[in-house]
Amino acid sequence: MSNHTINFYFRTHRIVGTLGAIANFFLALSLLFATSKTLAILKVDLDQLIWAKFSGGLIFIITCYYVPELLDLKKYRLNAWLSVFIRGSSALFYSLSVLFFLQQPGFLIIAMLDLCIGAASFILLYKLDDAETITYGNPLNGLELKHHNRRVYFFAAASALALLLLVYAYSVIPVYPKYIW
Amino acid sequence: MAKTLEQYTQCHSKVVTIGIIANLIFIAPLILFPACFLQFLGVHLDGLIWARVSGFLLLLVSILYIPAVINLDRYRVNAWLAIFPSRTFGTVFFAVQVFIFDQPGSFLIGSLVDITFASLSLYYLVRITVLELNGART
Repeated sequence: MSNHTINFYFRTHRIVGTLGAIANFFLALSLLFATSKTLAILKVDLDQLIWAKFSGGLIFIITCYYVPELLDLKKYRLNAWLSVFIRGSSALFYSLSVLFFLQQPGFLIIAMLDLCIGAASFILLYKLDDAETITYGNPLNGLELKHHNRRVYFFAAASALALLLLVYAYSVIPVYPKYIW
Repeated sequence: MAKTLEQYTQCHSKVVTIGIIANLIFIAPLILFPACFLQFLGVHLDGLIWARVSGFLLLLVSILYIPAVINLDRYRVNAWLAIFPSRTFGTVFFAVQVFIFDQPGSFLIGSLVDITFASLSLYYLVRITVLELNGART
């Protein structure tokens, strides 16, 4: 494994991340400034547009946090892994909402975007860690994440995600009095 | 007595941590009991999924504050991003919605929370930056 391979993963991650950030910025600004049209395109009904605008603003903020890792992946590797976690949990959240809790299918477009970019980033970061481990002995991710400990971290992230979704599912399943719905 | 750089860094970490906890106070009811919570705030919403989406996105934003708490030197950009655009957006957005677009006044709670933590974080970050610059000069 050479520096050439490591540079390839760096470059590809930057391209994928940039495309994802552009798509996110587009979605966020559309929700903020052209709310009705965007919801019509997504085929999602909503009367109180403030909530869609607020969500657009939050997506914009989250996307701003993706930028440092695109500029300096060595320094901001933690941001890169967090963005994978965020995209994964977001994809699962919207998919669950549509497939199990019968929300409008328009949310699946956002889920697909997050799933594609998140999965590609995950594979690239994983491969990059592997390549750095072979070349330098340890991944240069600045997280003090030793190669053999990765399973523990993935298990922790997966558990956090599972807990989050469990809480969400529990809140949607009709166990509360009717007025909560 | 003037505080040291380390003390300011600790204060900043505490402020951001308390800010995350304050966010969680809004996040939990928005995701778990949106109808009850919105009723308490006097806000009407037909599709509760949007309250859950907002709560969920707010949770993700709060997770992104954590690196700056762990290592402020390395993740200084995250600390600045937590002030601008993150907390600034919350402050301006809700204030504009309430005062210009006649939304319910209870949205101002979000504005107040954000402006409090944005101001405190900004104060500590500016002090840290000034001390670092002074240290670099001497």
